[in-house]
Parts: sequence; C-alpha cells; structure tokens
Amino acid sequence: MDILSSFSVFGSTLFSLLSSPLNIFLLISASFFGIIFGALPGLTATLGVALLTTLTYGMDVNSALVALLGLYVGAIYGGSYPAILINIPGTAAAAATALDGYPLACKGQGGRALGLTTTASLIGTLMGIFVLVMAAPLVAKMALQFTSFEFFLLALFGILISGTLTSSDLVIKGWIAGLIGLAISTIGRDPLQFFPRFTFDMPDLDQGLEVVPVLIGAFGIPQVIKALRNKESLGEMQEFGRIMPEWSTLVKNIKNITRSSMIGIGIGAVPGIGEDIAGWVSYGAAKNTSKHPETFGTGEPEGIIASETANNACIGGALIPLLTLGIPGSPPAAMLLGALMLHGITPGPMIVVQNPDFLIEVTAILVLCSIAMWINGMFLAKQVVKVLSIPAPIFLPVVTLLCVIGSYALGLNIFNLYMMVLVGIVAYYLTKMKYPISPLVIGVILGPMADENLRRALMVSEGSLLPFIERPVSILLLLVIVLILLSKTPFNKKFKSILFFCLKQLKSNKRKG
Amino acid sequence: MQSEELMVLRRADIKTAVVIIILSLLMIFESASFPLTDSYAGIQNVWYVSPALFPVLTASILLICGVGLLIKGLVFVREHSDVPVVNKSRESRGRFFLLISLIAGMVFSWVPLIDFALSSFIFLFVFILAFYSDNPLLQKKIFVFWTAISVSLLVIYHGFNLDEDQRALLDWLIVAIGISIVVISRTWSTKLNLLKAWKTSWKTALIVTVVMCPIFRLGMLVPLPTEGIVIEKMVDVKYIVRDMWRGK
Repeated sequence: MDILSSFSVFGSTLFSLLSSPLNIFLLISASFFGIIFGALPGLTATLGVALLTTLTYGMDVNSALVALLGLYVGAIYGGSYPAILINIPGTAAAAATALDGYPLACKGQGGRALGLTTTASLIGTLMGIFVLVMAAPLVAKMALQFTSFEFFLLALFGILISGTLTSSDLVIKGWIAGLIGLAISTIGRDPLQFFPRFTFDMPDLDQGLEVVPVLIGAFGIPQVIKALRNKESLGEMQEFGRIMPEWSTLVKNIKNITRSSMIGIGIGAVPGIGEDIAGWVSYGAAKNTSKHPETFGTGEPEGIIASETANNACIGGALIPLLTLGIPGSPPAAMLLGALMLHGITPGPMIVVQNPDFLIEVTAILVLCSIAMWINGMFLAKQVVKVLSIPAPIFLPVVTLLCVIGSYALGLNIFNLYMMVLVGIVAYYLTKMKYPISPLVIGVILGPMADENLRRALMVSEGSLLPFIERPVSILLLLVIVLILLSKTPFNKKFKSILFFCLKQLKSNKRKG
Repeated sequence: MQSEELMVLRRADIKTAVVIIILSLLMIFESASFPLTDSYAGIQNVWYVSPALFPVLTASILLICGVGLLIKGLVFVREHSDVPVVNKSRESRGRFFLLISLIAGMVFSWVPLIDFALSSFIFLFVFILAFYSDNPLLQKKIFVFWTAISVSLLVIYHGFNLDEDQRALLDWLIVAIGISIVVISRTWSTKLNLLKAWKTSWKTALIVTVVMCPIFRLGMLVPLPTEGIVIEKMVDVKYIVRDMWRGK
C-alpha cells in the first residue's frame, strides 16, 4: 500500500468515525470511563478492557475498537490522577509518576502536574502510534517469512521474557507462572487431532477455557480480595487549580520526551511486558541523564514527563507485536487480542494481506482516542477526581458483580463463572506469593500457538530438531532464549566473575608488558 | 524485603513447589493415556504429532522448575532457621474467608438458581454492608448468614430438579429472605451504630441493580444467567411499553 492510499484510508476512517454521533459518544465516554478505571486504585486497564469487551460484542469492529482503545489509552493515563493527588498510583504504570507528581501537588501545583501528565501522555501515545504505523508493516512483511519453527520459538520467547522481567521475587516464579498458563491452555480438544485433553469427560471443558473469563478472574478477583482484605485506603487528597498544558516546559524537555517515548515503545514491543516497567525504566533514564538528579523525588517535572510519556508510548509499542505477530506486548494488549478475535479478526502476519486497511484504521482510531483522552484530561479532571472519593468497599463489590456479568455474557455459560472464581482464587494466592500474573495470561493466550506450531514444525521435519538450528531467525530466537535462561542461572555469576578476573589479568599483563 | 517476610514467602514457596510437582506429575501421568503411537481419528500417530507432546513437555519443564523452587526454599529455610515466622492477623483471615464466601456463594449458589436482579441486590447489599461498616462482629454475622443460605441453595440446585413454578416459588422465598436480611441487618447496624453504612449499602445495591440489569438485558440484549420473577417481568414491561409506543 503506498503512502497516498494510506493517507486516504486514514482520512476516510477519521471521517467515517467522526460523522457518526454514536462513535463520538463512544469515544468520549470510553476514554472518560478509562480514566476513571485507571484512577481507581485496584482497577487496571486490563480489567477495564476485559469488562468492556462484553459490552462491545454487538458492535461493528470499528466502533468496538473505538471503545476498547479509548478505554485502554484513558486507563493508562488515568492512573496518574491518584498518583499525583493522593500519592497512590491508580495503576502500576503510574507508580513512577507519584515520585515527583505528589511532591509537586503538595507544593500547591497539582494542576500543573496534571497538565504536564496529560500532555506528556498525549505526546507519548502519538509517538507510539507513529512508530506503530512505520514499523508494523515491516515487521508483518518479515513475519510472512516465518514458519512454524519461528512461531513456536516466538511464543516460547514471549512467555520466557515476560516471566523473566515481571517477576518481583525469584525469576523461576515468573517462568512457573508462564508454564502454568501453558498447562491451562492444553485443557480441551487439541488443535490438530481434536483429542480431548484433561477434560475428564466434562463437555464444558471440550472447547478449552475461554480466555476472557480467565483474564477477568486473573486480574479482577485478586484485586478485589487484596484491597478489601488489607483494607487499602486512600490518602488525603491534594487541592489542584487550573490544569495547564505548559508548553514551554514540554519544549524544554524534547530530548527527555523523545528518549522516554523510545523506551516506552521498545519495552511495549517486548511480549508481555507492560507499561509499569516502561514508566520505571524511563524515569530512571531521565534521572541518570539529568543535570540535577538530586531534585528528582522532590517535584521535578522532568520525572513526571518521563514516566507518563513512556507508559503511554508503550501502547503503540505493545500493538506492534500484537497486530503483526499475534503476540500481545502487554497485559491490556493480551485482552485486546481476545476482543479482536471475538470480532472475527485474527491478528498476525496475514493481516496485511487479508485486511490491508486494518492497520491504518487502528492508527486513525488511536489518534482519536489520544485526542479524546487529552480533552477529557484537560476539561473533565475535576469530575474524574470526584470518583476518587468513593470508598473501595462501595465500588469493589460493584466491580465484582461486573466481573460476574462480564464472564457470563460472552459465552452465556455458567461454567465460565466457575472458572473465573477458581482462576481468581488461584491468581490471588499466586500474587500473594509474588508470582507475576502477566506470564500466566500470556501463557494461556500463546499456548495453543506454541502447541500447534511445535507439532506442525516437527511434522514438516519428520521429527527432526535440526531445522531449529538451520534457519537464521530460529537460531537468533534460540540464542536469545538460551541467553535469557543462562543469564538467570547461578553459573552465570561464576562465569561473569571468571570473565572479569581474566580481563583484569589481561589488563595487568598488558601494563606489565 | 524483611527477613521475616522472606521466611514466610520461602515457606509458602516450599508448599507451592510440592503442589506444582504433584500437579506436573499428574499431568504427565494423564498425558501418558493420550494416543502416542497408535491411531486416533484415522491418523496414525508418531511421537511428534501426538496430542501428548506439548502437555508432557510443559509438565516436564514445570516439574524441573518446581524441584528448583523446592530446593531454593529448603536451602533458605535451613540457613535462616532462627528467623521467626509471622502469621497474618485473625481479623484479616476472617475478612478473607468472608470475601471467598461472598464471591463463591454468589457464583456457585445464587447465580445459577435465583433471578439475577434479586441475587445482585442481595449480594451487593450484603457485600457493601460487610466491608463498608468495617465491623468484625457484623462481618461475622453476615458470614454465617450468607454461608448458610448459599449452602442451602447449593444443595437445592444440585439435589433437586426444579420446574419453572418451583423456581418462581423459590424466587419469592428469596424476596422474603432478602427483606428479612435488610430488616435484621438494620437492627444489628442500629445496635452497633452503623446505620449510615446500612443506608448507603441498600441504596447503592438498589441503584446498581436497577441500572445494571436493564442495561445488559434490555439495552445490550445479553440474556442474564437466571431470569425469574423480576427479569421476566422487566422484559414483559419492555414489550408492553414498546407496543404502546407503536400504538398497538
């Protein structure tokens, strides 16, 4: 598709979306509710997208995407409200924002902090969209050359990297979470021979576990239990005045914005790693490169801009592997994958062949969503903040009821509700024992892809494992997987110390020589 | 992380590792019954096409990881045997059991049997009152009350094959129970100085039920899990209003 026709598709999508009052209403309200979802501690963008998926079932694809992406973008940004005003990040993605946002609000500059956050989030999202539209066709083109060998390794890489980077305790726990996800994905009839696996003669298990109830259970129920069991309460709300975008500060931070966007997009593109890591890495990078790092943590605008630009840029990054390879870049993107499949769209390399306009349509919708987020942020902040005064014991039971309806509505099957509760309780225990949930979810989603492609690959090679080391992309992926595994073993430390010792010896020998 | 917390975590890791090892062994054992080299659905299997390949692979790696976690946990606990183990407070455990009872009771007992609007209202009222009041005594009473009704409903659901009339009768019984819960909890709340929480609970429960059920059932045409005396009447009213609007 040439640039001119891309622009024409982009323009016509924008026009068709904006000419429908229903879509405009959907856009503004999804973005608004997204901000509320992100702002309420305990609720996440992933859960928001999961619950909204149910409501979009009867809509056409574009309207559904407007609602889902509007909520996604809004929720990632919305987490900054409580982070700035009450020092409790609404989502993990906004945790780094609280470090400088809250001190700035304590100085009576809450409006300034929110203005910077809103505009930095807009810029971050737009940068992510730009890279998405530039990189996605290239990645998809490259992925068209992939065979079952590469797809199996890609799925394995996604689960492994997600497990490695999201574990806050032992790395092995991240891998175990991913493997549990893979094990769950094997329940049901297998994709090649339709043999019933682990169904125990229960017809409800024949189709396997539905992704949406599993995701709702994994992300919703643990949050409800955790918040109410530990009596998590909110801090004292800081006052904020008029919200100003403060362009001069943003212009001064162009370098910071560009770097943070690139970090956000890069981290977003790595399978299974979310906006929270992007926010922290970018905050750390801004602090390390700042001329006055000592001011970080005391209300430094640079810190707020860095974390908010990065976590929103992550959205575009996360959509690159999602749309081109069918591998979600972050947990909300994983949910989005489930929603797209419900609407009959299977993301992957074939999408550029089967539906060449789809990528441009998504880009146009994302642009509208980021603008809606900015408008909501600039003009409706005071209304959003009112929601923060609702106590958790009132809104969390309502969220639980939404989880129940959401899990039931997609398959109209009570069995899905049972699964939601069971997965929710298991996920709660896993979270409590510091197992990350993202790899588990990525495992459930990528499991069928890994299973099918492994067996297809071996069928092609008639059982030979040699093609795994004969194909260039396979070798590369295999190398990365092995390196990730080795880097987390005790041998790695010994190897590193031996290597450093040898290098030191070499240096001293050179000096003597 | 504090060494006490780490100790609790590693002890939990040991238990989890044992569960993981058992589950992965069971998974391998079960996978062994899948067709490996024999014919299934007209296809002659070889090991690499077998439906057992992926589960066995996953379970084997899970088994290795489980053993790794077990060893790590055991080594830590042995090295830090002098660190005391801190347990969660009784109150926190009570809240946890109440939460599980509320959610599991709603899903396993109320939703499959009782009209969704009725079960939503009672669930929300009880849930909000228990946690908004934040009173251990009231929470204990609610736990006993809710669990007893949920267990009874579970027995009815699995033990009897109710016809439509009996289900409607059960719905009416639940209406009576719901009113009793609201009235009895008012007495408890008055005694415990929690009347404000009681008022907020029933108002929120009513508003959310009245808004949510029509949105899903009438607005988005999503059938609700159980449609009884309230939802069916709501749908009937919709058609009556529609016919009146069209002048029929």
